[in-house]
Amino acid sequence: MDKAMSKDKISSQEMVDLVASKLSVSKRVAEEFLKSLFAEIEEALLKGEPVKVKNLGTFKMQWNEPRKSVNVQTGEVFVIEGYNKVTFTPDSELKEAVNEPYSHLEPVELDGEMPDFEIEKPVTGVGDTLKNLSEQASEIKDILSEINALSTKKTAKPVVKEEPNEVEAEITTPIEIPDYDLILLDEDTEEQTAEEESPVEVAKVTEPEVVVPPSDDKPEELIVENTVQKEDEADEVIEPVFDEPVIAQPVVEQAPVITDTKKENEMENTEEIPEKSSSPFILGKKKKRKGLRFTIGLIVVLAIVGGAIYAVYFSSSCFRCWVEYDLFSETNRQKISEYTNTFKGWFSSDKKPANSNTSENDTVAKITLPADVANTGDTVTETVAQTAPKDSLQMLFDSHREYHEFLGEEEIGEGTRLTTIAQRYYGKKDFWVYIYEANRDNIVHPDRITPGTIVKIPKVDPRLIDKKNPRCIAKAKELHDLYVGKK
Amino acid sequence: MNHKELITKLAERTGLSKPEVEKLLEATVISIKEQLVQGKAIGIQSFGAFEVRKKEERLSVHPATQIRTLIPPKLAVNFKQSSILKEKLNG
Repeated sequence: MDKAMSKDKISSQEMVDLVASKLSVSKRVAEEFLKSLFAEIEEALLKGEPVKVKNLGTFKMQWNEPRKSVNVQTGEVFVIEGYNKVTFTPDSELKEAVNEPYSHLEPVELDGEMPDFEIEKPVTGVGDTLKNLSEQASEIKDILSEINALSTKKTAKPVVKEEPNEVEAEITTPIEIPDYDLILLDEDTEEQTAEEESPVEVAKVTEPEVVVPPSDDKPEELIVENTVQKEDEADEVIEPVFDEPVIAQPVVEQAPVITDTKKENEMENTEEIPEKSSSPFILGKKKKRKGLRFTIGLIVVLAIVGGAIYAVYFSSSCFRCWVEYDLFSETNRQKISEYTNTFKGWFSSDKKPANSNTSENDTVAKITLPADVANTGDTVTETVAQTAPKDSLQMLFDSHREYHEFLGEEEIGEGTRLTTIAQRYYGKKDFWVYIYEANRDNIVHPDRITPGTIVKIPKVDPRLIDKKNPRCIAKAKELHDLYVGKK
Repeated sequence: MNHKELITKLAERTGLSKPEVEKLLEATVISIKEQLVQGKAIGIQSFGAFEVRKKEERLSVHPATQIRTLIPPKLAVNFKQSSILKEKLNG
């Protein structure tokens, strides 16, 4: 298995010379040193001690167990006694340096699959496939013609003529070769005429061939014949055969690998038809495996995408807003009442029917309950017993607001605007209306605020000033119109 | 015995100073390495021989996963002890 790389052996003496020249020391010194070195290593090994030499490797003593062996000449079994052996393991540096010529090679995983050179053939169109085959056919024809010369065509012909149904038997025998020759003759009319085959003859030969071979060979056979038939003058056979390639082609294109493989096998070994089935089987299996893996991967991807969309749909506040906004139109209120009743049934109904403040979220919660209970959390339990179809948020809007808690105060200067204050405190300019409401005693008209006025910034119900809620904004604008009188 | 100890022992044995021994040892190792890299074998009398052997590529199967791996060919250093040494060891 292993091979020694060189017959050149450097002797101890030569080593001495090398070392001496390297260090420009006398040969004697080098010789002494080398002797001492290996003597030292020996000593250590005899004691059973391993010796590690940097950048070179480790010398170790290894005990080999006694084992049985056979005397090759006498055949008798004898025992090899146990013994100690000096083993040397090279240092990684040394290993790499020595392996330089092969350093670029890496182990390759094969995954248990056969290397498939067949697949490398490009999948081409119908015409090309036929062309390929006909080219191959003509190539192999040369080989076959030689064989042809040897085999007995005459005997084959009458046999085929008389018993077209038993071509099956013929195929597996060497006599089949001339048959192939006839089939494969496409462009070489010389050979055809030389053999004095009538087109009808060919047809007869080929047609049974169509029927006879095992089913998986069929598409290939048909193509072969099609190739032949094209140039052939057997009109009567052409038409039915032509139909089949149309069917065969999709099959071929689906599994070009199988076809090509079989083609190769068949072309090269006319006698080995039964064996053909093995390779396409394996390839088919592999293809199936690849196809299967692909579909699995595709399903996984789709599942992930679907899950993502689902999550986005139900967790996005934007969507929630959208849902709320829409659902509170007249048409959907009934649906909402239905939902509320269902939910009422699920939870305990010992909560007092929450109105105004706590109720505004219940329909929100109801809609999002199936998707996102976590978010709404306590609001769900709060808003349990709601039956009011009227929107609670709407009610909040409508209710009279009184502000008793204030976040702070702001002094209105020359250019100060309530909108900017609102932007700062509530995050949206539109909510200035609530500031105005809280300071009505102080401000006559929102457009006319006396500089120096101190406005108190009220603590507004967060649900009113939800800047992400388009309804809140709409309400604020409504109030704006109301107060500023631009209606 | 590691490298350092070896140097100490050698210095003792030969009477040379430690740095000298170190240099000599280094030179020896490098010489051996050079020759091996060139593919040449080295024989040390009564001790053994270092040679380079080519290991052909092989197919190995992982026993658990059954993954077949093609291990590429490589060159490896091989040491063969001298029979004299063997006898000494097995006296």
